[in-house]
Amino acid sequence: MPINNRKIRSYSLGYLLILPSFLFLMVFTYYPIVRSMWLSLFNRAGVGLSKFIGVGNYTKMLTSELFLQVVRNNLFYAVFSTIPAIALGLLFAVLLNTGIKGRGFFRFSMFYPTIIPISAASMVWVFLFSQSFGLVNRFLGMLHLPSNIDWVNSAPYAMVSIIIVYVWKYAGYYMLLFLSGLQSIDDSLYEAAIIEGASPWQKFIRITFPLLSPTTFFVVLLAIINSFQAVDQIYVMTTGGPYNSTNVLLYYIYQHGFVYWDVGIASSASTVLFVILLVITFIYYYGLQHFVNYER
Amino acid sequence: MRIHTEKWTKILIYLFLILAAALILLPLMWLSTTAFKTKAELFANPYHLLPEKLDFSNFRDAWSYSPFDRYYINTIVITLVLLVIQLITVTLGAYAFARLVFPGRDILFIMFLTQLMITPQSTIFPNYLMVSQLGFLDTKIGVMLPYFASAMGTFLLRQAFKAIPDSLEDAGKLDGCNTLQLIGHVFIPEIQSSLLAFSVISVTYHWNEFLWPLLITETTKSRTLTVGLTVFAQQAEGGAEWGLLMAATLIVALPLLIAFTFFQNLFVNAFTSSGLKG
Repeated sequence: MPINNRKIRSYSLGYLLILPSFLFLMVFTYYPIVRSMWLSLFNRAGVGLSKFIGVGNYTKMLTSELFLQVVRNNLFYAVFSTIPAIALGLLFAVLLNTGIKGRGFFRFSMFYPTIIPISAASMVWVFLFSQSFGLVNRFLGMLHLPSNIDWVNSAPYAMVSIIIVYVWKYAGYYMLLFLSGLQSIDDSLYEAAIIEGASPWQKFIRITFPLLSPTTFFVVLLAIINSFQAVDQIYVMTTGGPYNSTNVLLYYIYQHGFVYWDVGIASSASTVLFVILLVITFIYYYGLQHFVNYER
Repeated sequence: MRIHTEKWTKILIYLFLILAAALILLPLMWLSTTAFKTKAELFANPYHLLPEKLDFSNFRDAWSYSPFDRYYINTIVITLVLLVIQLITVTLGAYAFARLVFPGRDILFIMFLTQLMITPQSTIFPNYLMVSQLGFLDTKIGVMLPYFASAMGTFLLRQAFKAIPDSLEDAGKLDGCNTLQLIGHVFIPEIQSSLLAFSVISVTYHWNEFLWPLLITETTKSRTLTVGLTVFAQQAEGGAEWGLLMAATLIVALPLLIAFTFFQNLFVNAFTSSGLKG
């Protein structure tokens, strides 16, 4: 049976080539998820024996004011960082696509935050937000606005400052994705619209926005996922404070896992985060098939 | 009349873009000028946009207070070794998914893709336990381990492998190439640009990464630049050491900033392709 032999050899070659990747994915992606689900069923804070408590950790979390606050914070952060970052990204992309000069310069200025470490950039932001001699308060003073704000250390402003850093960091990246989406729109559509006397706004609403919807949809997903991951600036700027007003899920996992050494709660919170990301991705794929305009 | 309004629209667009660009550039400008100001100057006039003269003492001091040379070596070793390993695992996997037929291939590929949404962040805690059990805490290997396989890279390169015409593969086979030779001599030259794009993203990501190396590294032996910077900041805290801190920040961010300045298109293309395909 020479043919079968050859088939088996070609099959095993396929498996052999994906084996290294597969092995690492197993050990560092799939197994950790199963493991945190498993560990989330035990009560093991600090050192000591673990005790099976079923969904005890989850009920403990859901009845704790802190966890609920963390979830609320994260939702607030997700919504109010995503919307301005995407809106600005789209606006920048549309404006840069009007054939203006200096495109390279603008693209550089808007995209560079993506390639520098956000933990390092956050140091600069702490300086800019500093109460007594930060540039932000200085500008506000020049505009005759309240200018004695303790940005990173007082309750509503701490969240505002980490949102500003998110928007600063990601608007340029989303701009880039929108720019490439814009390039795939056929120019002749715009030419036809101009002949029919369409205004720039009409062109945007009738042509650009609908044809850009696959990109928009993808960027929205990416932005939401990012808002569940972007905690570097929280670590550097606010450490979740003041009074947990900037504490979000991933930071909560970090605190319980690595500061309090509460294995059970850290694992349960990891599972919650994983489920949230899974649901978002599921909505994304479902939405992609049902709502997105694919006419090209 | 129409031309008149068009001109004004254009001017407004420029004004808006210049204002936006200036605001986004502000942290970078502020970082750069503060780093070059002396302590006395910073105290006397903190809001001057340009320093009176370029003063390098902040850099010298930052470097002497903290072992940034060690952090540099660690970061370079981690990003480059990791990149080499990723390029191997990713190329082999992508080749198999794109050009070989074997049972369960599509299911396995979907399993791979799920890694795109199971972000490393959501598994930091169990992964830390794993690295700790393997005895790799406070090592460079420990920082790299969870990233040896990359679904994003596999996906990116699979597309590239798929775009290569069969005739090229057949020609290689006629010349008597085995699979590895086929990948090395026939395919690699064809997928160079995708390999480059993936490399740019990988290096940028791991140079900038913060939370994971923060957890894994404990001493200067394995500490990366981003982590070293926050350790430095904690030591320098409690005073107007902003000049020092900004110099240290610039030390950390500079290599990628320079690379980005000179190879802007490379970065832009890489991040665009990763975004839309990954």
